[in-house]
Amino acid sequence: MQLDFIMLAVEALDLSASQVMLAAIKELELQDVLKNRVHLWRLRSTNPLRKFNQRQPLTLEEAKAMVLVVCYQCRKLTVLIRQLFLGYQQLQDQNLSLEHHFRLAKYLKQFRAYFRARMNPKRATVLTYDTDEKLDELALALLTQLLLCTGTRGEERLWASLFDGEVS
Amino acid sequence: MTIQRQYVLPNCSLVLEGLSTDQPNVLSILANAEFKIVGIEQPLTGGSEFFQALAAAVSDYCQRLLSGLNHPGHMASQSSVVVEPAEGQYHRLIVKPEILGEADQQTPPEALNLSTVQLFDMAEAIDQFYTDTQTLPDFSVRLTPLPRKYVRPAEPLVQRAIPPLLGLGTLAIAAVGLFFIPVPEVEPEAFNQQNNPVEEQTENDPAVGTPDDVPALEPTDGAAGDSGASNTIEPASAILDGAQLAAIQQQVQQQVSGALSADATFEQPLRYRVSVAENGDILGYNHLDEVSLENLDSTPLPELTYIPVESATVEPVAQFDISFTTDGSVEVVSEQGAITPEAAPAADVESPTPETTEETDPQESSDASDAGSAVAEPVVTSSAATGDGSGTLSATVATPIQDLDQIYELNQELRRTIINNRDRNGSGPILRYRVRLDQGGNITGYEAANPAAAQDTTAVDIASLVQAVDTEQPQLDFLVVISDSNVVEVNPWNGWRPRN
Repeated sequence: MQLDFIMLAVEALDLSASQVMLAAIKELELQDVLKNRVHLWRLRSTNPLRKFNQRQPLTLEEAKAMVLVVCYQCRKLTVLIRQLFLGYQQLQDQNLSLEHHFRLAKYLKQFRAYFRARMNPKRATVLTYDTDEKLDELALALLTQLLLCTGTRGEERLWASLFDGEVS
Repeated sequence: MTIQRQYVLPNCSLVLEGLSTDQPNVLSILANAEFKIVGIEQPLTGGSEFFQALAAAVSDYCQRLLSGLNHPGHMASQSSVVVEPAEGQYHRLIVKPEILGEADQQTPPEALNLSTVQLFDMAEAIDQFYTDTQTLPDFSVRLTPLPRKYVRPAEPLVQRAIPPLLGLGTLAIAAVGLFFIPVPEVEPEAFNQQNNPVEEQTENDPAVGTPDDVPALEPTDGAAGDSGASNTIEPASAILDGAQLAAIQQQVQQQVSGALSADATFEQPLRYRVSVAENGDILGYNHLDEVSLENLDSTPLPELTYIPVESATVEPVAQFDISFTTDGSVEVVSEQGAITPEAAPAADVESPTPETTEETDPQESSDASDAGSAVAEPVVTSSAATGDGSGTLSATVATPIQDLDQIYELNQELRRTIINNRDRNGSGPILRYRVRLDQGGNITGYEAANPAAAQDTTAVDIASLVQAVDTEQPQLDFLVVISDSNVVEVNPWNGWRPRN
């Protein structure tokens, strides 16, 4: 679920993200795990909040591969993400609303659209994101995660965070 | 040898100074660490302990940002360096003074507001240091998922226990409530009545027989042998012809009362609805109340029920209500309503042939031992398997003829009729008949009054004389005696003295 959200944020940032993702798979030589576009889509559909969700669980291999892909993409977007954060900081310092930063507003709008189109509105978790403000919050939190993914140990951090609270 | 390592990032630079001991170019002992953050004048400096705590706290806090769960490493209680979220995208970094090793312990903890990018650069610098094998190789990497015990459940235990307890409570209450509700009883009656063809419910035939105390008449129903209860009444075409209905009604009355043992009594009146075929066979019956169902076996109905051989053929049926009164008498009421009297060919089925002797003896016989109220409607035997049957009459007349002169005339007329129709050569035991006349002298019904008369069906062809008339008209019963010397005597059944 978290992976899918992050991917969603990536897609919102970069409209051609799905193409880039496929290219990244090739570049990282992950074709064995993530076979093709449809397979990737099926894996992302394991997110229980999706409208068309698949019940089969994600294997560790597949999850790892997706983490790698996400971090790879994030690094490519590092500059953009940093710009967004700087802009966000300026907006906040000047007490301006988020719409004043063109690129950030675009990202948020795109993310809202993606989220509403793909998530099942009947799910309780999705219901909590019923307003634009809440979705924006989610989008910004995801943006922070993307920023962390760009770090030197981004893969490790993301991978470890996926299992936070799940191990004993 | 003093070694200095610098990790420079856009918003933050980390300078580590230390000594190399065993290996050249490897910083193994950290002497001083300094964070220079763009936008903040004062650099963060400290010793090895400070750097270790800061690195752990920042790293943990980054994990917190990723997973949304608090890690112990950056919390105030666990560490001397605390990172916590502040407003918006800022994060507050609090360094407790004692870890800085400053002399002045009283200074308040240093708090820095870092933006996300600054914090990230800090973490990145630390990460780069971690991956740098040339610097402090004994610094361990701590990136493990958070154990479950640190995750506080979203809802406290009490709240989580409410739904199952509520469910159990509801179940218990429902169980207690349902305990007092009796188990519903299935009523097959309602179901069977729905199967009945819809009949026109009109007025019942008002003339109804009462106790049938006719002695010792064999049940004359040919179908009586077939026993078996068929509760289903086929939805067949109803018999609507009034005359036919009347005839069938009489047949049924006769069958049932004949089959009923003379001393039968019932504790409560029983009511049944029967379906009867054209030939008088009872095809099915239904109880009309609970008592009737329970006492069904004490009535002759199950034995009288005739099960058609070809069940596929649907005959027209007539429906009657049969009531067994408490003193063992039977009433048959047509479901179809009033029977048109002029059309009731009551005696059609009678078969005896006439031949009487010509001697007559108009001697009065006051043999009205049957003091019971004399009676009523025409009743007919069915031409039966037993073959020796004669008619039976219902015991009372609805409106008896009371005029003495009229009775006298009727008496004479009946005598002449009997004389004309008797078997002229016959001689045998004394035959007694009860014959019912209406005001016009028409014979509306008759029955044998002693066993000889019941057996001898050839002496007098009374049956052929019977005419169906309205049973509401005044009628009267007469006793006809044909003596062994072939003399005919006719008297009113109750004597010459008018009743009541």
